[in-house]
Amino acid sequence: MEWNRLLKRQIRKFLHDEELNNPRLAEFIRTVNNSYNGFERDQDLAAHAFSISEMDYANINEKLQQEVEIKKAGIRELKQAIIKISDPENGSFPIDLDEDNLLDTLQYLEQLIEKRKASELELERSKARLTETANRLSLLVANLQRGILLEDENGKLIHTNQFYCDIFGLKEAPEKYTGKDCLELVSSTATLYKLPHQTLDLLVKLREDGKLALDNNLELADGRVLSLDLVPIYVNQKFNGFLWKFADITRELLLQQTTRRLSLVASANTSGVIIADDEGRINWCNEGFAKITGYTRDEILGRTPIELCQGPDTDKETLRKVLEAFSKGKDFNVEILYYRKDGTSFWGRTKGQALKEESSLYYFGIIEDITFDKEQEKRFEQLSLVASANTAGIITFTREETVEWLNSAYENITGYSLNDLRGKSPLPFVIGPLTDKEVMARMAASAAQQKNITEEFIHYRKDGSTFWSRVAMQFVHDSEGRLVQHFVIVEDITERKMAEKAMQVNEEKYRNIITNMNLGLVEVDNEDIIQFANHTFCEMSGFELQELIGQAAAKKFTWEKNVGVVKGKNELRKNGISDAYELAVKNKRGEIRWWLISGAPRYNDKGELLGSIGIHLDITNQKKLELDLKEAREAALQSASAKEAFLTNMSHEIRTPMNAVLGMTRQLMKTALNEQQRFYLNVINDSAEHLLVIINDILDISKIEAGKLQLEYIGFKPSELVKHCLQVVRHKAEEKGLQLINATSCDPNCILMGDPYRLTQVILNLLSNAIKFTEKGSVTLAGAPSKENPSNPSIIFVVSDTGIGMSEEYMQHVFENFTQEERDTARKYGGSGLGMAITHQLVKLMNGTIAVKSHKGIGSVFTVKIPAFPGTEADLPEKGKVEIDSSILKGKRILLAEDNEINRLVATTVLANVGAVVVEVENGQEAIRELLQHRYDAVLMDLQMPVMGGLEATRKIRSEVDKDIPVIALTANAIKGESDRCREAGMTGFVSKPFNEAELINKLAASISNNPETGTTEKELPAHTNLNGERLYDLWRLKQISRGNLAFEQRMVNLFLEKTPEMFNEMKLASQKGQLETVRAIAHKMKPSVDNMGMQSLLVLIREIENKASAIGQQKLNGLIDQVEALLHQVMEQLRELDIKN
Amino acid sequence: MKVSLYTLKQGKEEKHPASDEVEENKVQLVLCFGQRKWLSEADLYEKLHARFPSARIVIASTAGEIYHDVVMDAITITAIQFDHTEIKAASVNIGEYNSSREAGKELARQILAYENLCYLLVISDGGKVNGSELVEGLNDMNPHHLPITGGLAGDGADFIETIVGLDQQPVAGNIVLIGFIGNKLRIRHGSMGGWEVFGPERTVTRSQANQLFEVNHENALDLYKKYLGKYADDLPGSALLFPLSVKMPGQAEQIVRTILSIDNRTGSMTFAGNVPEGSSVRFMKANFDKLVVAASDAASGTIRPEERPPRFSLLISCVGRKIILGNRIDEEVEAVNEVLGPDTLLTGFYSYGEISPFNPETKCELHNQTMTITTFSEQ
Repeated sequence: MEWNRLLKRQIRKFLHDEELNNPRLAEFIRTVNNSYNGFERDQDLAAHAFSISEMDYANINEKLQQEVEIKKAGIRELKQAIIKISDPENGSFPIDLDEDNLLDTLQYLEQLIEKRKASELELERSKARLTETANRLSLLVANLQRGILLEDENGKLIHTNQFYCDIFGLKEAPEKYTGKDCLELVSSTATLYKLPHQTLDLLVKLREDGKLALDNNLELADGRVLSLDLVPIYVNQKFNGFLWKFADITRELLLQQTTRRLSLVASANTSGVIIADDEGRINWCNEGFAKITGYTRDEILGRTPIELCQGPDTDKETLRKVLEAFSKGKDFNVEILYYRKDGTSFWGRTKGQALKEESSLYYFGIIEDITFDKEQEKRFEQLSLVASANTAGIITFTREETVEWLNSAYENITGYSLNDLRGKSPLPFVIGPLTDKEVMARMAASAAQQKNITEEFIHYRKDGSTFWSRVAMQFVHDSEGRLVQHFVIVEDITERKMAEKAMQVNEEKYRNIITNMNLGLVEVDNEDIIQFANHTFCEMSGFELQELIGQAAAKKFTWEKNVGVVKGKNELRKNGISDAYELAVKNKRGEIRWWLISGAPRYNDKGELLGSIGIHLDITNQKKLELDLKEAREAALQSASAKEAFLTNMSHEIRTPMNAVLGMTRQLMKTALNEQQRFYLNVINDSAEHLLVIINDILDISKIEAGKLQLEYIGFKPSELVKHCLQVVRHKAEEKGLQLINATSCDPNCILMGDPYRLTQVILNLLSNAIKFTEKGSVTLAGAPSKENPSNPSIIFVVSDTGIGMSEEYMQHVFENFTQEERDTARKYGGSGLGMAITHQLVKLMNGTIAVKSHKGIGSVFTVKIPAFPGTEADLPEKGKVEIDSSILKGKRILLAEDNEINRLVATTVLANVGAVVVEVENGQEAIRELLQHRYDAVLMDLQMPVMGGLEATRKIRSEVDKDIPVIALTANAIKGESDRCREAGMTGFVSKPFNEAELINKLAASISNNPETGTTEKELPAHTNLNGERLYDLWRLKQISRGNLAFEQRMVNLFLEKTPEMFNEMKLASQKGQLETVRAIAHKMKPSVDNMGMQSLLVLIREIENKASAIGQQKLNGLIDQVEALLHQVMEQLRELDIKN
Repeated sequence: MKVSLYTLKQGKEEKHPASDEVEENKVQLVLCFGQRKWLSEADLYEKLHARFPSARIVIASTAGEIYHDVVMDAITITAIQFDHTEIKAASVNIGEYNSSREAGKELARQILAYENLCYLLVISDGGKVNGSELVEGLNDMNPHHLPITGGLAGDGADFIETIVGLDQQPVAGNIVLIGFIGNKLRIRHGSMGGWEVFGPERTVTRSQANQLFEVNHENALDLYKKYLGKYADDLPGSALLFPLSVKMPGQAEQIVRTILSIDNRTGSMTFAGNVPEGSSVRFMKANFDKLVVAASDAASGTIRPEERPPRFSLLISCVGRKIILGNRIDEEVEAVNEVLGPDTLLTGFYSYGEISPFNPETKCELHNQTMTITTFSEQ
């Protein structure tokens, strides 16, 4: 290896060759060498890079230097050029030739350009302006209908126009006078003035004053009148001469005068004017008089006015006054009724003026037609009457706006009488500090224009108190627009005003309430256009008020079908109907909201429908909850029906295998087993039974909860019910060593109405529970029909125990589903936790009550009370029950139709045990075929089978094969309705799977014995059995006990053969002696061994003797004992032939 | 917090003596690193899951395992049982996204939905996933700069396929993000390369993703060779020794980009990470000793004198360093161990890219050629 040279030196220096051969040292040196190399490489690279960088730098530097030089030269040239072309007047700009940058140069250039631009623009503009002004002025002056003189500050004429020349008759063209002395020119025409000297003096004075002098009228001698405006001209506050402006106003003045004169004449013409002599005869009249009287001037002249115009209604008294004045040469002024030529009349105001001319007297009369005034007056008088009677205050005014008259109502309202106000303006009296100034101003303005006005304001009474008034000021004008009448109506509207105010307060209050309650308020008009919306509504909808006003409400918030809903609601409003409804709307963001809308029609104060008003509450959240709830409910319902379906299935699916488990377990139990096997089998059996209980419980509770459980209503005997219940649980109680006490007191003949099966279930549940939770002591069933309330009879059962009891707390939940007091209760005692719940539900279903009392460690007492009316014998479903002996099945041919192999095996095994002959088929069709070919005593028929189900097969059997053969249904469906369907199909009965061995046998035996063709009566039973010659014993029980010990079995058989005849003889003897109790006791004693030997037929007889010995009478008893003897004989024969070892 | 470190070599398991006694059914996080060929063993995940039933299990292929103070090619298993920290993990596969950035975004979106996160660990496929874009995607969703560290899986020095799996057998293209929830976990991180820049800064004027053509309008490869001088003769083998320092446009920090290959025909260089146009680049150099010192410096950066040493430290180092350091690779791990002291258990792997922020509370970056250290301690 080549070491790094630096390292190599060190190695050479410090190490020997042999040391280098040490591998560890060599490795060390290699590592160090690596580092050396690495550092050296670093150094090399750095140096190398540095040199490259230096080179790069130098290159770049050189390039830059060159560029700088070029740039500098360029700048210098540029600056020199600028200095050359720059305008010294614009101020020389300090350009530094030595400066490298161009900034100063650029700035300078920019300034120059800006200046140039600005000045050019300005020049252009002013040029245009001047030209235009000059053109306009010259045109104006030339065409002006005024004489113009324009003199400069030195009095020289600068300009005049043609009009001036025309006025003053100057012959030359106006331009000719330019440059002349202005005053000289004016003086030269002074002679034209009416007053030449004064006029000239005036003009000179005006000019010397040097002030603006307008509208100086100058009269010319020829009648023309000129108006002169003398305008001194100042330019830049420097006097610059005068402008003289002459206008010819002659025509205007003339026109004014003429008009004045003409109007005089016109006015003179409106009335009649006459001149009469001292005798009253008219010697002149004007056209007006002729017109108003209807006479021609010829007819008038020479006659007196009285002759001419007096008529029947002319007031004589007035005439007399006139004549009197006339005779005394006095003036008069009367109003008198004139008659026209045509007989019509008019009121004439007649002014007579005596004119004395020298010695003679004339009368000058003016007659004015005042008929209209008179009528007005009359009408007014009538109106006054009305007015004074009016409840509103009325004031009439004179033309001078002072009070002329007022009515009593006004006095009542205000306290002011006519005397207080007559000739005055009432306003200062009736207004005060509270009166609205603006209203007063409005009224004053209307009064000045004589316009009608009605206002409301606070009125002051004479006593200083105030009231709200409504004041109508009215002006009555005649057809020519003259004011005829002016009056004011004053109403006291305090009450209305207060009501309005109260309403306003109320409205505000309600609006506030609405706002505070987060209620959205909307007002719409009849077209559903929004007129108003409150703040809350805006917030609810997300819109600004401006976005809502003027919009159609329905379109704004709803869509499609809802628009119709709103329309419908609006129709309701039109009919005055209010209501509330929920509506889905979209807010501004497009979100769907639910509103509760309370709508009502909206009227104005005249009762006209304006639209509607809606109060809106956002109920989106509630709605959502509601919808959620609905969904949840639907989901719950769905799950409930799913549960039901599940349970139906479960019922079928579980019961079938359970059937097999239980059935086969029982069969297995009958075989020889060792202790261990038996123990296992017991566990299996217990567990399976337990499971079945749980399944049944669950099905029960489901049925109850689904409301599918229907109660019977039939007659039953409580005493029998009690007996049955006790019988069922007795075995269990005895097994646990518990005393089962019957403390019921039910009359054996008592019949009640109700559902005995459910009641039995309830009592059995309570009893089983009591037994389950009681370790020692007793379980007592007490019960009796209650006599508490005769109108509502009931039966009470009490189940008490001395068991573990319950805590106070648990008692509250004891009737709930799946409850057990301790978590380990189920482990210890088993059960589904449903028993009490079912019990409770059943009791409830029967309208009963259940109560519990319990003390932990002492015991529990359950009290059930069920309503039950008494019934009669007729209500009992069947009378008496025939005890069925399974031995009837011996040798019977049973057809089993069942598709499930396990079920078939179980049924076959069970039935073979009782000696029946079973033929198996797998479906209904095969069953029918088999029935057609062979004789059978009964059919066991599964319901659900392939090819043909049990119901259909049964129907066929009934119609085509055999009407009477018993057909027992096998069904796994414990659901209600199944039994009805079976019966309808013609089935004799049904057994539910997994079937209880005893139930199957009983049902089958019962149906066979009831069938007249195949059945036998009870009494014939033993004989029948005899005839059959079948084996009358069955040693399975014995084998169970012996567990394979054959010697034991043999000993037992021998014992039976030895002891039984002895016992029988004793019994027979006792019977003959009538010692019935002994007979019963011996029967009881015989029973176990007969049972153990599996002698079913014999057992039936023995049991009969035991139970009924004292009841059936000697003869019957003897019959039974004979039968026993015969049977015993046979069975002993058979036993003797038995070889146990085989 | 308890940590156990195991190694599996030829089917034999060994537990590192510095390990704690973890309760296997309470282990929350298992990190399993190993060579791709061994990880593909069919039931590795099943075995791990059976053994650590409550743990989130991350399996990733690597370019070398760090087993405390030793570097080896094996399988290492790190089982972590936190006292106060909760683990959330999510995984996406790059095949389901248009870009690595989108994948990163989605992943971050899933994990950042949890509250009280204190730290994120990312372990990603290193072949199909573009690490730079993945980091961008994570940063997009992480405006508050929650610390994120981690790395890209490796495939020895083969660069064929990397595999990653979360609670499953590892496959190519997976990206795993692990969120650490709680306020008792203290995370420190440090990342150092040990490289020195040289030569003037230049601007990338032509590039395409991770392929560089021109800097300052000059051919990049020519320039590179010019600067390497006589060492250019050793290219491309020596390229690992001369990575490029890249300052992305608008970024202040420089990151190291390893040269993966050079192409004399097009005059281009391909890097292990994007080199966008407008980036400022400088050449870099290093030697063994500086790399080792850098690892030691990275570790020192995580140490606070007033704090107890961390219980556990995750070391993610660059495959480039492993190639360069060769049989001296143990030295960098030893250096870290020296700094962190005997109380800190070290685990980790050699990766195809390291992910960590430059400084606390800044966004995370994809690095090359660094030793990236994340320390864990529960207070």
